[in-house]
Amino acid sequence: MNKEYLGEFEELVLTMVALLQEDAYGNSIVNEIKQRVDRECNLSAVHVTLYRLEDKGLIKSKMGGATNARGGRRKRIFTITNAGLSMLRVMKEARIDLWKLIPRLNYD
Amino acid sequence: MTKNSSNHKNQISHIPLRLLAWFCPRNLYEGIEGDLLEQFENDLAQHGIKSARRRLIWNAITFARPGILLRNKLSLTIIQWSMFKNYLTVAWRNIIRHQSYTIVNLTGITLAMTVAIVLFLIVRFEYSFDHYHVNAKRLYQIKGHDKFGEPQSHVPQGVIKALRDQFPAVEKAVNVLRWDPRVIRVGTENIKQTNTYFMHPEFLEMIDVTWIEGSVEQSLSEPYHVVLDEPTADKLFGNEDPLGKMIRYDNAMDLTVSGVIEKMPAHTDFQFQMIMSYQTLTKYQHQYANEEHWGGGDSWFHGYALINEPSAINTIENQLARMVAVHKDDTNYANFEFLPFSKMHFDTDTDPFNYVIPLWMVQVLICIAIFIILMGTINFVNLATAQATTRSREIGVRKVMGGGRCSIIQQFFTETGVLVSISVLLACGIATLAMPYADNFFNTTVTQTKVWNGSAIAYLLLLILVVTLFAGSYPALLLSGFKPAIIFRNQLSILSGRNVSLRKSLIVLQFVIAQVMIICMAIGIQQIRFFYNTELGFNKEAVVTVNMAFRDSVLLQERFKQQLLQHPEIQDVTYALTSPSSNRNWWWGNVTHHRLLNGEQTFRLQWIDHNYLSFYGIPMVAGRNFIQSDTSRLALVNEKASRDMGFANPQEAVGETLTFWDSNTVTVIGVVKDYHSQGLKVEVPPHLYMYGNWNFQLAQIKIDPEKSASAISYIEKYWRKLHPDNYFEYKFLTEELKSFYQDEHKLSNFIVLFALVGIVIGCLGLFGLVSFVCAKRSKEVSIRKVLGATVSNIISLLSRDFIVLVFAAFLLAVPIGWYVMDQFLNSYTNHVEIHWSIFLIAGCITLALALITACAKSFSTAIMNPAERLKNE
Repeated sequence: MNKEYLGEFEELVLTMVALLQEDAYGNSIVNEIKQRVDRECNLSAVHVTLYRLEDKGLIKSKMGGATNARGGRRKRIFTITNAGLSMLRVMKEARIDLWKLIPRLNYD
Repeated sequence: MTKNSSNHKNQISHIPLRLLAWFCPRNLYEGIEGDLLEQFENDLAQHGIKSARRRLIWNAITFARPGILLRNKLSLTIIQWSMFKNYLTVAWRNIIRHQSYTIVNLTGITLAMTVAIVLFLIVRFEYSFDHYHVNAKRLYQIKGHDKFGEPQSHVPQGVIKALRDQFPAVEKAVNVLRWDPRVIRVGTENIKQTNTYFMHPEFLEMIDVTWIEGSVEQSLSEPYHVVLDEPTADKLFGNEDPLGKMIRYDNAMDLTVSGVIEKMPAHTDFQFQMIMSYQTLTKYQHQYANEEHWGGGDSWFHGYALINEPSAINTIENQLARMVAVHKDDTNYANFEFLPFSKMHFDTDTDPFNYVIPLWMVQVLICIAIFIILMGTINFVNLATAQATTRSREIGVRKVMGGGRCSIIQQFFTETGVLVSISVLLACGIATLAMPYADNFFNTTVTQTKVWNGSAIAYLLLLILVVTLFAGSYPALLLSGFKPAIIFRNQLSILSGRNVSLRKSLIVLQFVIAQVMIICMAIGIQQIRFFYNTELGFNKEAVVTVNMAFRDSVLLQERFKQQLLQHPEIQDVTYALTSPSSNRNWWWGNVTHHRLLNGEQTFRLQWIDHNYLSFYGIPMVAGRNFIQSDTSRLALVNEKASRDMGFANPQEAVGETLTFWDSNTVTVIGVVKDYHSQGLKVEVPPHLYMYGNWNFQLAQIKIDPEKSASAISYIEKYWRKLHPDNYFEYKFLTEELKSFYQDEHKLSNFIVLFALVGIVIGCLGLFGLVSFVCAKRSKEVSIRKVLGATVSNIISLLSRDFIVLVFAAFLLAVPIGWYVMDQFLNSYTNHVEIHWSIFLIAGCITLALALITACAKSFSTAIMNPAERLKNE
């Protein structure tokens, strides 16, 4: 687990999957990233990242039900796995630990 | 919502999605496509249709990234592989089952491929000339133009010195002289040595030369040093170490071997066998010591330059032209241009060291190759389409079992690919075997270079791909389009009737190509024969020429002549600078006379003995010939010269005074009838004849043609006695004359061969089609016979259609052939007229061949016993 390394964008996407829960698929993640962190990202980049995270076992996917929208195509819904959650947690804690080490700055 | 989405469907372009489907892994496809569509809907709502479409395309394309592409699993190809194996099996079974069809097909396409490969090798070879030098892109040949606009390959030393001293953009500039000695001597042996060069040694750093012994600095820094190439070193010294050995050069100087280089590759104009420095040249021929010489000279005295900034060439050329203008009293040159090495081999203006080939000839070869490939491909298409009906059931079954159109197309491409690959492999083998003969036939040296390298293999793959694509696409599309229901209802004859017109037009196309080639061949051969057989204006039969080393010794000349004339085998002897139509050693002079245009013109200078004109049977049209007591102040001119001086009647030219080479004044005493002194490809130049035995370089001996062997042995005996230190070599004048037309001879060889290949391929295709028709209609033929048709009825029934096609092709080929050859012939000053009989002959040959092919096959069907065929019902 420790040897696994997550890139910045991977972490962002993983967080979004955790956040969106049952509604995490390519487009919703792109939109969510745009809304929450105001960042334009490419649909294909998100897809590739999702598949890579899936390969690492941090998320899993299944096909959702068909709807009338999207030309009748089903969505590939991603959900975070326990491994993914613990990975996020480990990263957050490591981040906070580091943050604590920064000397306090004085704003006068 | 539904309405909305169906609206979008109309608006969406499916191309990006198809693209995606092509490269995207199956399992991911639906999710991605859905996301793309959703994105499209959002974009549509926000930005409008145009922008949405653009974004869709862009989004789809961005999915073509490794993260997606590499997720394609190979598991799919297992099914494809087993299908592919099935295609191969079926292809093989078909090859075996329809052997005669396969043989006809394979022969045709293999022939075409062989020609395509051989021509590729030749064309690549010609294009590769002098490309291999490291500096190739910065190397230039300097080419001069004299003030009459004539191109000159001679470059005076003054130009080279100026380039070296005054042009920083010129890194190096050199003179290179090819000067083949009459003889060299090693020990006591007299040897003929060609390809000997004098040059500024830097030239060996400008071009790529591989040194075995020595180097540029060490080997050529001293005068009288010589560098040999390896084969020459072996030839002269065998296994001994050549370094330090002595060579006597032209009975004039002793040279020490100071270096050995590898043999120069075949694809360079610089076939150096002996290299000496410029320093040595100045000691050997003193006129070259003058570095400020700006005047004319030997056309094998070339200039080459290595340029730092090729962009500066225009400036250099302009400045050179200005410098030439400064020297205008010493020179005839008007300007100099820089010819890149890549164009040097195709520049027919200059006098090359090796040989040049006109660019149009290479282009003709490329065209021939394309046409032959086309013919081979057409054959394939025709035979495959004709055979389509026999494959229809198989296709029907495949389709019923669930084979899609795509897989049928794949199958037929596989089959075509297999056949084409086999034929290319066979063609490679044949081409490799045939290449030495081709070299011999076409006078090239392709086999001396590395033939099968990367580019050749790339070409083969390309050839397989292109031919498969062209030959396979029509049959594949046609066959895959069959509807199983129609096939099984046995109505395919209706279907196959549809493509008859295509097949017919392909045959017509094929025969148009073949007949145009035959017409070109016939006219080309006629032109060559015209070159060889036209009277040049002098008697060229049974004349043997030998060089005279002592060109100024009247006594020795006279002794040699008298010795020869003792023998009845020798009929006459004359001396001159050259024969009336030599291909080298043309001396030119700037002649001034007040009636010439601008007062001066370049005349060809010739020094002749008093019996020269009668020896060759060249008549005088005015004045008198030289007599033995004449002085060198008298001269003859030819009719062209007298016309150029503005005299309508040659008689008027007699008595005029001309000046040549600035200070030599001669009086015209007679006018010689024009004869072709430089071959039939160019106009007769103006000539000035002097009677001066100081410049008799060639003895011309008329022998009894019945006893040529003994005549030549006498010539050799006396010549050797006269020149104990020289190498004896004689030439027949008629042979020398042929060398004027080497290019044309080469081209006509090409065309003859390829016209034959073309017609063979055409006939093979015809044969295949006729045999197919015979097989299809054998039942009909049997019934007709039973009802009383004769053999000739049947033959005409079966082959009439095809003969009509060949005839139609003939009608098309005539204007094309006429136009092409008219263009070709007009490029020659002297040429044959195109006669209608040529077309008739060409047409008859093709018709006859087509008739034989078609009838041979239909005859065997016609004489078949109808009972045999009908009882099988």
